[in-house]
Amino acid sequence: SHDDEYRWAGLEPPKVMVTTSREPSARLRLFAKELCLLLPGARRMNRGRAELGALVGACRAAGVTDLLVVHETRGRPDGLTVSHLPHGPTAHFTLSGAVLRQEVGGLGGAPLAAPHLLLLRLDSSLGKRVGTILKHLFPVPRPDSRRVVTFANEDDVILVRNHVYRRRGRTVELEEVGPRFQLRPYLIRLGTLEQGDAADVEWRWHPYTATAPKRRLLSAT
Amino acid sequence: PIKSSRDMTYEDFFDPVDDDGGDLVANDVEDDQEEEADSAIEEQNEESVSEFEDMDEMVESMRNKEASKKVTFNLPADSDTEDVTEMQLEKGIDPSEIKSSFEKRQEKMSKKIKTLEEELLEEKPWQLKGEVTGQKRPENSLLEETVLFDHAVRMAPVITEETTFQLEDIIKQRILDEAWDDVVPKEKPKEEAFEYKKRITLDHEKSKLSLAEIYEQEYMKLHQQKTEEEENPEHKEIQEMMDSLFLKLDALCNFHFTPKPPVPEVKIVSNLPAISMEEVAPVAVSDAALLAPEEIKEKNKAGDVKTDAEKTPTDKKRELRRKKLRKRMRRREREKRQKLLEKMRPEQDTKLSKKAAAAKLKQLTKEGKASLLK
Repeated sequence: SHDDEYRWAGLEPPKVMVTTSREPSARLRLFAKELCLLLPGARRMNRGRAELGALVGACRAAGVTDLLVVHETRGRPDGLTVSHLPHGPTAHFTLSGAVLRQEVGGLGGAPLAAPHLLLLRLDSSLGKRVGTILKHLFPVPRPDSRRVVTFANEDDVILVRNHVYRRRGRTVELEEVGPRFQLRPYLIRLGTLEQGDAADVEWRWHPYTATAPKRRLLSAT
Repeated sequence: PIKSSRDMTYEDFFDPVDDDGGDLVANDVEDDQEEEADSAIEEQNEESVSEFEDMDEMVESMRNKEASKKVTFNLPADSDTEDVTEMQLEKGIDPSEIKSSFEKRQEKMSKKIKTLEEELLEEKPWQLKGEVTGQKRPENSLLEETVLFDHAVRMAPVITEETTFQLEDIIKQRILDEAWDDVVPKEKPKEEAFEYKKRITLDHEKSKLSLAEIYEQEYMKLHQQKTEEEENPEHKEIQEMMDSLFLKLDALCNFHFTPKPPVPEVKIVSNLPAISMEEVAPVAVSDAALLAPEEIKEKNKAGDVKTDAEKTPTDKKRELRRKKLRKRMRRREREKRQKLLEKMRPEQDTKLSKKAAAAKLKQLTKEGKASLLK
């Protein structure tokens, strides 16, 4: 079945490597750094002139479980590729509306505790698949952790939010921390990044069909 | 004199309504009367003439009425005519130049038609000219236009405060419920090879049952369990008791005859193995033919039994080796046993048995320590 790649995913905490496309702008580098703050245990790596095949090979040898590559257009983070490394699936997303912590300002130190996760309205089989891919970037949290990362699906757009909460009796106070952005998946391949077009396509978004504007693929209803 | 029914008119039945109304009605009535009275051709002529006259009269009366009426039709022509008439009356224009509402409507219509025709003959505006580049239309004219086209890609949702609040509400609810979608921690079962081997005790002996018989046994096990479940005696008893009770109650309650429910058929369950039941072979076939010779008597592992004439030298040597091995083993066992015995009982049996003595003597003579006196 699809999730055989994540069969032993809860055994050990994932080792995530974040890198950018070649010659990143300052803002993209900043965003990559903030992604590392979002994902506990993630490390950022300079891309330099590293070729993708070599990069993926090195990551696999080092025991990295997920490789994230962030793309940009003129300073605005534009695309995200999540590649699960031991021969796992690769998901490509378009990023939009990135709001960075540093640009908001006055937030203080970023909370680095392993967060609880919320996957909202990712009901359909495709939604669940995307949900598992995103979910396993995070380790198992402690039950008393006070940080929440939300992946909320609205009209096939996944809103990613990072909050710190405090329970006061029956009310909850939420404080938004960490970068905020929207993801739209458009391609899932059953192979790693360096295989490129050779890997099988698990799912692809078809925007130029007649009913494409009406279809909501990530939610079941 | 009394009017005949043929000469009865409206006036005989009803009072006159108004002066104007009365006039109108009277005119109609008069017309009708005139039409009835005259001949066909004359009728026609007079009809047309009278109609015309009446029409004019009616229109004039209507117009006079309109000036005094509160409620009027909202025909643009009529309103115009009103204004015109008023204006004309004020100005004192010649009443012959006053146009009828129909004429005025017609005028307007013709004006409209004229303007439309002129428009059509003119050059089209840029919006209707097909593919228009920037140079062909005035500057920034597209900004004033509302252009409609199909989007292949839905626009990214606008993130407003409201949307954020809605999302946060959901998050808060989930936090209160503690309904997380966290990663589930898994444990890999660690099994050492030793433990694993312990679990599986392989029987190195050859299975005495054939594969078919093994399957048969398993099948029987399964089906016996099933039959046990079905024929739980207590359940059966209870069911029977209930049936009889309900039958009696039915008989007592019902006015009409309700027949006994059909008793379930008696099942014959023979305790034979299923394979024998299922095996369908013609009666003429004997058991000997059903079973293969190997099923009757097991085949020897070594293969066919050979007579001395058939044995090859290797076979003979093999047999000899085996025989020797057997003897060797037996001898060793015997010696071991004797040693143990000697150890166990060192001085109890000083009297050696005859056999042992003869054996010892033989050994001694061989070694040369003793010689037999003949």
